[in-house]
Amino acid sequence: MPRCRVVAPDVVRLPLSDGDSVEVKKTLNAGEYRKLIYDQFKDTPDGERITLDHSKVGMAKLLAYIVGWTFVGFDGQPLPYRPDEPEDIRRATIDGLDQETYRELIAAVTAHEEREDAALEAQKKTRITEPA
Amino acid sequence: MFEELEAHGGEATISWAWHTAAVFRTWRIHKTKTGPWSLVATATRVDTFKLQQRPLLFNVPRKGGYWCWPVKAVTVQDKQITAALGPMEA
Repeated sequence: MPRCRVVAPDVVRLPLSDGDSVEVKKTLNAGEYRKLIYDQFKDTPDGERITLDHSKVGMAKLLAYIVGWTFVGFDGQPLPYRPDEPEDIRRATIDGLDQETYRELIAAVTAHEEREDAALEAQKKTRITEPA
Repeated sequence: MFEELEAHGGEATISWAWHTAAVFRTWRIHKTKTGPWSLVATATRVDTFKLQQRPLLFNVPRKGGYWCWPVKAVTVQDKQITAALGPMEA
């Protein structure tokens, strides 16, 4: 049977401090991955060499991966966050979090990304060594 | 309690997880007292692959969030979409 190459929209829950958690996409599809790469580079005039914009790297990763969380607002009610909201709204919501939470989110999402990359590499090796 | 309920509006979507499966220009939902919710909508964009996946949600934006219904079955004819919906979720 041929291999299905479509990325299923699976979600992984990552634990955070104080009993909170964040839900992230298990794997980015090609479009999401491509957007993440482009979003991390500086805007440059045509013909100029493109360079990584370190100020965009963390936020681009969070916007690409996060689909929800358990955070609450001042009133104790859930702090809304939907992946299908416009990007500027999601960005503003993340910008409103405290710095410690922002750093914790980046660390959690980066660790998740590294685990998934390693798992994909292992899967590829298994496919290559499987008999036809 | 109502005997029959009908609502209609402008922009709405059907989503598969965080992916947009269809975007609607106009939509109309209908429910009788004992019957299920049904949807008739005119789409501006349809992704037929994503519309075949499950679970699907019909989302109507409202102040502070969305009203959502699970999509039980969906048929597409040109840009006209009809769907059977489950109970409203939020």
